[in-house]
Amino acid sequence: MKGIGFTMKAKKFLIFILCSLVTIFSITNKKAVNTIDESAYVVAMGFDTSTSGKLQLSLQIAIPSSEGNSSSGSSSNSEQSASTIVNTVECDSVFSGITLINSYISKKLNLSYCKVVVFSEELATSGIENYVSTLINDIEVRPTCHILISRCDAKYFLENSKPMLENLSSKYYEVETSSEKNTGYTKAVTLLDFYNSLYDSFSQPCAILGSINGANAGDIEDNQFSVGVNPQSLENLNSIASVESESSDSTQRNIENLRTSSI
Amino acid sequence: MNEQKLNYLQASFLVIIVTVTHLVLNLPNALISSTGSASIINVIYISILSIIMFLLVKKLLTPFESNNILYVAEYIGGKALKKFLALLYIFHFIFITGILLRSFAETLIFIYFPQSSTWTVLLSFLLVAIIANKIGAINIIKANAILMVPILSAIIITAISLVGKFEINRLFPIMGYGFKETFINGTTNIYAFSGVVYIYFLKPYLNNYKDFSKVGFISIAISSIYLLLTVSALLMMFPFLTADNQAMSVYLSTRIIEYGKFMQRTDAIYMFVWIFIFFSYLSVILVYISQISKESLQINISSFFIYLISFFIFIVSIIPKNSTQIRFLETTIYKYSSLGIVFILSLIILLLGYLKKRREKSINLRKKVRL
Repeated sequence: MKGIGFTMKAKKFLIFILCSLVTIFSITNKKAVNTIDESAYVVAMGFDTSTSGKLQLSLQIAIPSSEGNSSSGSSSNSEQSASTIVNTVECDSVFSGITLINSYISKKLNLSYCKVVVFSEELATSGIENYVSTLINDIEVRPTCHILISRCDAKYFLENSKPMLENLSSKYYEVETSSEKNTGYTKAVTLLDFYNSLYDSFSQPCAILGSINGANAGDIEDNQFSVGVNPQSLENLNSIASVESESSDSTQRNIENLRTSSI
Repeated sequence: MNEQKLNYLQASFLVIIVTVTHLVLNLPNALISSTGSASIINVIYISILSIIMFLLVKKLLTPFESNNILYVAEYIGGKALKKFLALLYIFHFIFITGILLRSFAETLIFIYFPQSSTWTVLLSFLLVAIIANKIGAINIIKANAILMVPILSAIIITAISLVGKFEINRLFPIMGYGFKETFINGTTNIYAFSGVVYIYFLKPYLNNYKDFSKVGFISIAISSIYLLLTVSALLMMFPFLTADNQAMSVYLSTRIIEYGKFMQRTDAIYMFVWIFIFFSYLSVILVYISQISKESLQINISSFFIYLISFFIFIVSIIPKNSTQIRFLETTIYKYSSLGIVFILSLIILLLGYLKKRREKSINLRKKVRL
């Protein structure tokens, strides 16, 4: 009888081990899980209108080793700029743009750590509801990521937005957009806040209106030249940010109001 | 389950686990979509309706003392009706469980295992339920009662964590899409309490069958409170017009929860708890199906039977081709099948049984008077 009991226990134990192994290997095999080594982490996204009228998607991707080095080493701007790269594609939609970039970079893009989404003023004027809806429905993009409207091109903004007091770009975007806690001059608007305001009947969406060195879309050509000649010239200049109302329906009107008030 | 009977709390938790499983999936989303900003009023309304319905069920089952609905079916229509009803319930449970399992598995794949095949995730859940059933029904019930504490606490913690982000204005207009949508068409939302179907079977398994009313009230009350909590939290978090998101609605709210700078992505913790909810739910459903089969179809509950039922659940869960089909089956088909089987057919059978019993009683009384 003892022998039978032992056999039954052993049988149950073997079944348990077999089931556990099947479960563990089926779910956690190398193909099923995205490891850190296989992912490219997007720190910021930029949306512009291209010259052909299509969407121009720019992704600022962190280079993990550079990010690590810069955190322990010096904080010069040249090293900081090397810690991220900006990739730009022309596409019809957000997802097609991401797929397009995925097709030529060696790693899979991961949007989980995206800290800021930048829309160019030009694109914002034509309405950004579709893009915001797409992003909020993407499970990787966190609803707590910040939204920013850029007076210059979003691509230009991402390329030239250089942190002075931060080593990590992601940390910089997180702290910079939340500077309202210290100053009260801006408003930290997250993707969820903006999205909710788009559909709420009692509020209007708003976002930070930012710029690099006060650059407007029209000034970029000149600025690009100066950046090309002497990138250090941007070092001593602060990015400006102000709060302005934006909405899907009345975006243009609001931006015009801003211009009037700025003047 | 027959050898060791249940106390009223264990029995209540067997009903609550079903409602809670639906809650963490898309039930609150479906309610908000149908009644808009009047969802809170609608939930209170359907809670009252379900209590009234339970009082009716209690009244109709009173003459049958410790017997359940299957006995009533046999009493009015013989063994054929009993077997038909048992089969109908078994198919209903298999269908609902299969669809919910697929819905949860898809969410899990979507968020955490994008490159895993669906069947591996489905099988891993079913394997746990099979092993649990092999250990024994009473152990599942005890484990379910223990798991209820973290499960129910997780939902309360979610709601409390979101309080700072609530927007009271989203509760307005208080009547949502109007009186008709809230109180006439909104009556069909009583399917949210379709977990009460399990109350119909519990009476013979209770320590004391007089605890039946306690089980009913506790399970409906707790389900109502949690339904109200989840719906109101979601309603105040998101504009109801945007409630057509593909991901689980409660999951969407947990993505926003942050506890300072160090605990930013807490959704994984909640997902971990919900995985246990699903393990428990699947195991409990297998117990129900086994007991119904044993009681009405005289099937000996063997390992093979549990494998077979699990296989059927697996087959149902792989039928939907995409998330749109899953959503349709999970909301529309589930809604109307629950209304038809749980709230109409079952009540009709109980009513017929009650009337037959009364008629018999009055005939017996007349005979006694004549004598």
